[in-house]
Order: sequence, then C-alpha cells, then structure tokens
Amino acid sequence: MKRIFLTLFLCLNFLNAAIAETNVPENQLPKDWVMSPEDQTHANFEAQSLFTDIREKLLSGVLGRIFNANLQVVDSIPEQKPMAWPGSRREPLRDEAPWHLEAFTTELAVYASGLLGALTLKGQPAVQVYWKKQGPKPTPNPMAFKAEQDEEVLTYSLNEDVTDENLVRELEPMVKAALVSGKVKDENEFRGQVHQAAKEFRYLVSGLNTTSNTQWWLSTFRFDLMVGASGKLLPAPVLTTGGDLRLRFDWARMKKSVPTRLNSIAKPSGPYILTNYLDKARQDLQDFMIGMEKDLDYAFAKVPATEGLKAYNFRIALGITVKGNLGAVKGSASAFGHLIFANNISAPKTYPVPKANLLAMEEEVEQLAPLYIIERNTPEKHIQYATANMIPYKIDDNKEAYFKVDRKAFRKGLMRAVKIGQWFAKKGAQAESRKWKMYQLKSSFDLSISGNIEVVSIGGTVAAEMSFYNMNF
Amino acid sequence: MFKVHWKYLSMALLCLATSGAIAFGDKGKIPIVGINEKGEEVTFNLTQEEYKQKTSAAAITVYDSLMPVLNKQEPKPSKWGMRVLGVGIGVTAEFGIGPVKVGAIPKMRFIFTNHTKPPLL
Repeated sequence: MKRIFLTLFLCLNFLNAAIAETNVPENQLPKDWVMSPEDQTHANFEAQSLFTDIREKLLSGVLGRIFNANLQVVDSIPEQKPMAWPGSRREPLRDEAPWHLEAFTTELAVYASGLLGALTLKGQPAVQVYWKKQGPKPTPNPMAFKAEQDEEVLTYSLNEDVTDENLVRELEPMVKAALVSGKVKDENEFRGQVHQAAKEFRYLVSGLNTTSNTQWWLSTFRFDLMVGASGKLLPAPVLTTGGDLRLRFDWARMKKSVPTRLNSIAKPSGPYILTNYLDKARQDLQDFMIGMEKDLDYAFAKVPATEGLKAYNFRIALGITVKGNLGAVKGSASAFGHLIFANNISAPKTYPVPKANLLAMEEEVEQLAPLYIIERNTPEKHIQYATANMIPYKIDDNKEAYFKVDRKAFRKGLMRAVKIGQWFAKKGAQAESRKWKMYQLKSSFDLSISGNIEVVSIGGTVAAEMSFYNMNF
Repeated sequence: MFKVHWKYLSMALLCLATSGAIAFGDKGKIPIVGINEKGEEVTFNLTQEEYKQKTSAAAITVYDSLMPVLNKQEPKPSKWGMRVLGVGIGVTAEFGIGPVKVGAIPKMRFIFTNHTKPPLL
C-alpha cells in the first residue's frame, strides 16, 4: 500500500512540475522579446526566453479573450439611424456618407518584466490593432502615422517643385496656427525660424530623392520640431510629455526619382536649426536609407510570410549627436526625423526570392554604410556591455553615446521583429465578430545596441514600428 | 493503517492544490496594465464579463453623445471641413483601496467618419 501511495505521490509531482511550467503568468511574453541583452538581469534569462508550446497557447488565449471582448463590446453598441440626409439642403461633399463608426482600436502594452495586457490610463502601446466593419477592402496608406493623443501637430507637406518665394507663402498657415496656440513669444523670429527649418529640411530631402530598386523603399521622411521654453524652434524629442506644440515637415517620395527642383537645391546658409552638420547629415541620411531598404528586403525575404498578412510599413526614428553623427535613436534622445518605408502591396502575392539572391544580399552587407544607434544618458551597464562585447562606441560631452552596430546582428534583430509582428498580427486576424474584423496591426519596438530589436515596454520609447495589413479582410 | 495512508494522500493533494491555485488563479481573466498619474505601474485582472460591462458603458456613452452632434454638422464646401474624428476612452481612471474602482477601463479609440473611403489611421 505504501508503494502505491508513493507512486501516486511521484506521479502527482510530475504533474506538479508540468503545472509549474504554467505557473508562469499566462500573459508573460518570452524575456528576450522585451529585454535587451544589455539590460539583462536574470541568471536564467535564456530559460525564460523559451517560447514553448504551452506558453504560446496561454498567450494566445489571453489575446483571444482581449480581442473577442472588445469585438463584443462594439458589436453591442446600438447603432443610431442617420438623420435626414443633408443632401436635400446642400450639395453633398465628394465621397460623402452619413456619419458612422468606421473603425476602432485595441491597444496592448507590455511591462519591462514582459507581462502583457490591455492598456489603460497612460503608457506606450506595444501593439495597436485596428478593427473595421467588414465590407469594401480599404487601401493601406503607407504614409499614415497616428499623432500622439494629446499633441497639437501642425503639418506641412513639402512640394518638391516649390520655389523659395512660394515656400514662404505655403508655410504661412502653419505659422499662423502656431501663433494662435499662444506658445510663440516672438512672431517675426518664429516665422524666420520656420522658413529656415523648412529650407534645411528641403536640402536634406534632396539627398533622398533617388531611384529605389528594392521591394521595400523609403516612402516618407518626416521631421518634427517643437517650440522650446526659450521660444526657439528645436528638433522634437521622440516622446513628449504632451501639450507641446509640434510642427511637422513631411516629404512623400516617389519610388522612382523624378527630376524636380529638388535636384538643384543649394545648401541654405546658417545659422542652422536642424543641425550644424547639414552636408554630413544629408549624406548620412542617404546612406541610412539605402542600408535600411536592403536590410528590410533581406529580413522579409528570409522570414517566411504568414498567409493572409502583409507587412506594408516600417518606421524608424533617427537621431543626430551634437557632433553631427547620425543613427537610429534609442530612448529619450531627440529625433532627427522619422523614415517610413513602404512595401508595395497590390494583389496579395508571395515574395519568393531565389537562394542565389539571398546570398548576394548577405554578401553586399559588407559594402553598406555602418549602422549606428544613439542613446542619451546611457546607463553605465550599457557601456559595460558594449566594452565586454567589443561594440565600438563614442560618448559626447553631453552624455550622448553613439554605438556602431553590427549590421548582420541588426538584420537578425529585424527578422525577429518580423516574426514577433507576424505572430501578433496572426492572432488579431483570427479574431472576428459578426461585423468587425482586423484590417491593420501596428507593432512597436525598441532597439538594442547589440542589434537586437525588442517589443517596446509600457514606459519605453518607440524606435521602430512595423505595420501589417490583413489581406483577408 | 488507514490513518497513515490518509496522511500521504493529504500531502499529495495539498501539493497539487497549491500548485493549481497558483497556476490557475487568474487564468481565464483579462489582464489590464497601465501607468497612473504618479508614474506607477498598475495591474489588475478582470473577468470577461467585468471587462465587457465597463467598456460597453463607456463605448455606448461616447457613441450616443457624439452621433447626434456629428449628424447635425453642416460641413461647408471647403477642404478644411472635418471628415474623420477619433475619440479615445480609457485615458483617465479612479483608484482607491483595492485593485480597481469604477472608472478604470481599457483604452480604445473610436474613429467616426462621413467619408465613403476614409484614409486609414
């Protein structure tokens, strides 16, 4: 009898061990999805990074519950019938329809510990799912970018053929709107700064106006400025506390270079607002763009596509040190613009790349310009990690560290980010209700000086964002 | 004899029950995460019913409040007329003793439009 009970006891312990595996909270992401190697604190980091089948099922269960609950909530909203069609009183606007609820979003956030949940209050969302009523297929806008909720953003879209005289005229609505906000002290000085910043922006853009032969290509260069406490116009931080007045310059690039006035733009004279190293920044931007286009092509060629999902947008924030060194930005450093890359999607199709091409992509990485990551107020442990792992770096006088990242490691990080984004997008695409379905998902990431890319934590800063479109919408 | 066997069985069941309670305590619920005004991480779990109840109340309030206002809009034939409106819920909350007080709801953003082909946001 004792033996029977002993056997029973041992069996229960095995079961206990199996349960212990699930003792990890069901909403726990693998550690290496959220923690950079330079921030690693746990001795059993690798064990906690395993994405076992059990963990995957538990996480999928959590996501399914969140998504389905949101869908049921919106399904339950009793729709109001539109009031009498206004067309009888006036001419309808182009493409006008009665006001209706078109779409809604679900936001998920992740703590630095890796716990995931539906976001409430404040915090950086790691995943944003956009649900739309099923019906005609929407066309994704590669240049769409959601402004932060409590910011005022005044946007100017650069016209490539604009003359200096017309540029001044086109900027006037932006200047006037900024004056109305009450955050500008000296109107004439502010106007002069806006004109100067726009000319510098146009000069930077002139270096990007080249032909692209890659699947992924730079579609937008965006530069945000803000009015500082002194009334001076400054590059805006990646993350602001809200309530700041932002000015935004946007440039939408044609995939193939089209001769415009941009090709003969002369460098504006100073004093400079965006950077004192305008020529270097222009060249570095071009090098960064070319490198990123090839890295994205490679990452998406290597990672098998998930059926029904298509990545169409990738955004990355850039920074520039006071000494003019440009790189991807990490943490709270000021952003020297965002580059938004698009992937042409018309009809859903696979992207089969013959092996020979992949090899060529791997070989060409040595010829690409180096990739840098900039971090302000770098923690000492990041410096120690860089030293221990032979990652070249420099530190400026204002504690801005400039790390040279191994491009092959960065491409591995990109591939992992693609897989993580695809995983979330697949879960979103699996949820649907009677009326609503996921049409788009955005996943946000932070960068590691090791080249790795992690899901951004709730208190973190987005360094890169990847968007997926549901081709089965 | 039965007393001794009962002791072993009790120990085994106690181990199993403890593990089960830890492992399955919050399972089936929806985790909510956020940062409050003080910058502190806030975590709590809601059952699906609680989640739907809280979020539905806010969602219906937003919808019922906005639609009459939007429908009364008389857009002027100008390119600056509003065609898309985004409204968020779940940005503010109340907290007291205990993990959750009425008011804390997950963030959602509703996008209203009077366009047949609105741009994606």
